[in-house]
Amino acid sequence: VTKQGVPYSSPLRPKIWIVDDSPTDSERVRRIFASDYEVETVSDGSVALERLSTGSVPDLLLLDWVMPGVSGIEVCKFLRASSGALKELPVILLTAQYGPQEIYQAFTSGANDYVSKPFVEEELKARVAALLESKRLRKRAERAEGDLRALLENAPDPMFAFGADGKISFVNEEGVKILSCSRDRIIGIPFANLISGISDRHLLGQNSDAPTAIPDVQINQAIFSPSVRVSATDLGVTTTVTLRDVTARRNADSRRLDFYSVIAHDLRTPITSILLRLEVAFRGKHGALPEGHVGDLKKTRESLRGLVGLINDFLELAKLEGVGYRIVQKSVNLCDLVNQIVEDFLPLLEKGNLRFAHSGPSAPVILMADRQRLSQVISNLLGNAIKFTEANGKVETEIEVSGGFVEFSVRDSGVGIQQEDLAKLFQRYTRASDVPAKTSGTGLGLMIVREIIEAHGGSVGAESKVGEGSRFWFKLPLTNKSAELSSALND
Amino acid sequence: MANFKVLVIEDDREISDMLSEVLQDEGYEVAVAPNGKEALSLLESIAIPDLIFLDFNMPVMNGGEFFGLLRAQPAWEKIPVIVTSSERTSELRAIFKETQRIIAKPYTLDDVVSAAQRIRKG
Repeated sequence: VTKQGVPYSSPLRPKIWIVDDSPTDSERVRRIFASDYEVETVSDGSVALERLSTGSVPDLLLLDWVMPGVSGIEVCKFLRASSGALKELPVILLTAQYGPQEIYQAFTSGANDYVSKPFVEEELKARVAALLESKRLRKRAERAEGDLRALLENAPDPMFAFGADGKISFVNEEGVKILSCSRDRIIGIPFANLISGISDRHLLGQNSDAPTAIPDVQINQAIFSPSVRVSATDLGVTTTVTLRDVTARRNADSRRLDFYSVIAHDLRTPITSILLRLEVAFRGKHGALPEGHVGDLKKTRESLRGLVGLINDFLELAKLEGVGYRIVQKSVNLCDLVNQIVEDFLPLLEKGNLRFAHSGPSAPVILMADRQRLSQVISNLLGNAIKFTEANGKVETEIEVSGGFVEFSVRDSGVGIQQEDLAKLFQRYTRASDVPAKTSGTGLGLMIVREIIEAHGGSVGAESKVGEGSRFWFKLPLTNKSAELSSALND
Repeated sequence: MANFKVLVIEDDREISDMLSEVLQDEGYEVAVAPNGKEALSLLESIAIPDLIFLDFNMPVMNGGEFFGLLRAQPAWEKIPVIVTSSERTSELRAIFKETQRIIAKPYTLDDVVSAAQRIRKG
């Protein structure tokens, strides 16, 4: 039901108030806007203030400057000194006085725009439309920001954000909870001081939008896996750190690993003693063994060695589950690492009557990597090459740096691998189908290699020719940081 | 030339028996201790060995702790140590750094003998 004589009004039509003491001017403006807006005329400044303070608020105010009593400028000042919707209410001042001094005064008193009388109808319309549009956009942005904030606020994981100065600008409810400290005391302090274990080293050099996992941190008995995301816009750089509670998972992992380690150790020790005992027998201290017994015992020995390999690989694979979260990246000189590992393998190379050669740059090659894991990879590849190469063969290692990557490879003159087996090599539980019986292995080794290298953001591969030998390689990216380090060391 | 003296630190009796037997057959003088702590007190009472075979995982005092205390003594800091262990080599490297040889279990008697010979020859 609508009142007689009042046209239907759409609630979607923006409300404009025209505040002008001249009924003629007022009416002229009203006619311009009547078709697209819901327009009301207000006779002077004091009436406008009275109505505004009782809670009715339009979407825009067209305000005459010069009015008896309360002027347009005074209305503006009142609005800007208010709170809530009034403070933000868009205002266009209309006046015949428009020297630079007046324009300055209009804006400093809080008007959003300024149109001089006599005005051109199209200009006034355009300015009103533009102001309303910018108000609408700002509202939309505020709502989106509010929604986002509410979403982050209620996220189940603790979250922190900070800008280029490193000082915390946002912390959500969970973040406040885990630090058991009030929000006011968290906001504004440098993030690096907040959580021990996350230092500038982890935060600097993160320059992609993709979240990066960094080592776990411990806060009051709970273990968190932090991920860092840096987003750079023309508004500046914002770093967001999200902490995921992994306490239960890590504790279960470590209990499981402790258990496996104890079993592995307890199994390896008696096997070692059996193997040593066998050797004492082979040495013939208590009399030479009959030929047939020697053969049997040698087979026993091989089986036992296979068993040890199986135990080792099993333990490694168990450790590697989720390794991506736990690799500790530090700068590692790949050349030194390879030399050191080769040193460990010299007795084996000698024993197998193998020739060995290494080629690579004379300058250090510095990588960001988990030294222990990387050394495991190199040992594995080198160990395989030795294992699968017959006496008088050759094993070569090579380090090559090119195009932001470093490639390490091991080439052998061994038995080689069938093409169809090559592709399957780095998958779980496979081994080339017809390797000589003398070789032992569980097939888990190369999978371990792949897991570790991929956790470092690298790739692995192999080429081979049956009867000629194989070449196994891994490739790791040289980060900017590591390139800088390398060149600094080269200088 | 005086006898080459070897100290074997190993908690598994069966293994230490065999090591000492074989090393004695090779002409070495062998002393044995079942853990790091007993090895330290043994070292007080015997002539400084020319070589130590050190197991890692032992009760009472493990190889890592023993090694730290050994190297803290000026008189003992130059004794060559060969680590014998069933831990993976890469993990032990982190503990014993670059300086020491590591023989992983299961090792062979030849590994042990040739390692000792190398040290003896210098």
